[in-house]
Amino acid sequence: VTGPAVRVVIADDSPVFLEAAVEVVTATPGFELVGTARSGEAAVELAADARPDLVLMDVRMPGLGGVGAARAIRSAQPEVVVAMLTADSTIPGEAETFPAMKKEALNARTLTDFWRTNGSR
Amino acid sequence: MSAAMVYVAAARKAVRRSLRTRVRAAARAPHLFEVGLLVGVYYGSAKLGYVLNFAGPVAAIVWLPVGVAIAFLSIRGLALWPGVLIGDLLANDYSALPVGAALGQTCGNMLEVLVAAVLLRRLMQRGSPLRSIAGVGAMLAALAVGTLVSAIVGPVSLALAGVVKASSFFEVARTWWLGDFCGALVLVPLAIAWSPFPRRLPPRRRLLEGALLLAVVALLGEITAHSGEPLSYLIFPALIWAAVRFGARGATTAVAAAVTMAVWATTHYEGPFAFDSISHSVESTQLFIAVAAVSSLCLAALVAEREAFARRFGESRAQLLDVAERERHRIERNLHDGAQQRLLALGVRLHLAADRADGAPDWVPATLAEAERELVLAVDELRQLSRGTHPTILTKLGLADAIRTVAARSTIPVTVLELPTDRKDETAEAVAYYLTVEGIANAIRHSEATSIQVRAISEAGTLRISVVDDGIGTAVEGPGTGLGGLRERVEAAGGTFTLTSRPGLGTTIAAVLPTT
Repeated sequence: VTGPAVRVVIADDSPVFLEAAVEVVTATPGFELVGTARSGEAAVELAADARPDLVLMDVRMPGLGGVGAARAIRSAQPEVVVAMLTADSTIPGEAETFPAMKKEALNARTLTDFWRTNGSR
Repeated sequence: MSAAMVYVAAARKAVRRSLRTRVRAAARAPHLFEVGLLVGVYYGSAKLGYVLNFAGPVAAIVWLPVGVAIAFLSIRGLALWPGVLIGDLLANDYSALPVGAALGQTCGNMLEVLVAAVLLRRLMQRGSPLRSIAGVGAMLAALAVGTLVSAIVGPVSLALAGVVKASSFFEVARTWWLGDFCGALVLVPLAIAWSPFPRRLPPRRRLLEGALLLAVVALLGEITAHSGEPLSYLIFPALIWAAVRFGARGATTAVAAAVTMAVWATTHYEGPFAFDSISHSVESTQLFIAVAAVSSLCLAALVAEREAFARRFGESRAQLLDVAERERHRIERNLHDGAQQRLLALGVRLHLAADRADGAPDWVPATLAEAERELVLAVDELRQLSRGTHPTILTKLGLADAIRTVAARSTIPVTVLELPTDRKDETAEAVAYYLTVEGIANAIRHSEATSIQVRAISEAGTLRISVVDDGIGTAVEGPGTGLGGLRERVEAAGGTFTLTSRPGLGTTIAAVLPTT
């Protein structure tokens, strides 16, 4: 990955997983963490402020939920890539429009690969 | 004035006002109409009593007016008492009795009706007394006590007037009491059972059965009356039929019909209770009436108690399953949000550690990779576990997609023949889903089947679900088995469960579930 670092926002209601994900993103060369959110609503707000390139979004969150937040972000900022983080083996039907990533598979290599496949640059 | 005095004055005023309203309400036309009706029915039943009465003014087998009066006052209100008084004064046979004795008798009748009606009204505040053995017992006691009043006051006033000799006083009092008690015993429960009168006709089959029952009662009554043999017990199977199949209404109606026939036969010197001695005839008939009525009422009360118990049992079972379902939901959520997230984070950190282990001895990244693999397996197991506790998949995808997912995971090919397109209510969907999961799992474990067919149809307020396999067909359900548990769930949701399993013909597990 060359050029400026990919700006990443992570949204997850589980603080334990959020911490681990923050560490992965920080440790991956070419990626820069610009913020974290604990709910879908907070993620939408943060995305508008922090102008990320990539949002890692937990599917299952209370309130708006991951899918609702992903839709809101994409409609306001179509250039942002949203990846759905899934903890379950099945993805809800309405989440299928977004590229998905299994939570246990989140690491430097998969993150880089994901951006190479889905990134806009 | 102190606050307390103001309060007391206000309360007094309110009591006066409520009394005035009550008096005014009591004077309204419907009340007058009911009093008139009571007078008419009371007088008519008294005349009927005289017709069916072959031993002078005191020896009626069944004195119906007392039943009429107690029924009216206990069901429609004590305010109807003038109807009893007027009816009784009109019905008195002044040609056979001195006026004083007749008036004394009327006072006794009035008091009898009031005592019984007051007791019954207190009893009926707690619901129909016919629905429990305790209620029937209390009702019988109220009727016995009430009728005892008249059986004492009446003969005393007759004795004072010299109409009844002191020597035969007790015999007169006993016959009086039994006659009044039998009249009340037949009519009061009948009125309570049919009040309020059902507005809708029962289904055709019930009507036909009811008509058949009455015909059988009439036939048996006829046979009993004319056979010349002492066949008084012949009517009891029909009375049992009435109580078991038609509850209090059936029991009281059948008893009324049987009593009518028995009294008619006896007063026409026929049937099993016609003896040379009139008092013997009267007593045997009264005994028959009391036994038939009391045993029918008790049987009907037992049937009602059993039905109430079954209903409560069903409700509490549904409640328990509901609680279990919510508990499963809670455990699943906790597993997902707690342990599962922690394990996922741990896996991510293990991988991170392996990435950072550049330059460490070879065994370090190898061990970390091994630990990560183990962890992924653990996470998978946890997923299986939480899927078993509550179908998250169902809430997320709906029944059709959830079934498709289960079908796709099966190791025996599953053909999904039909699925509902719309979302059904949660309970029905959950039960249908469990049936599919359990049915397919059962087929995989035990059936040696080569194919499975799943079909879910939703139509007209029901959801039909079936899982059919072509295996060896030896499935049995028993307590503690998956299939037994399935039946519990289906029936608790108000559905019907069927298991068909024949050797060589495969197994069909099916349920019909009500939906809202």
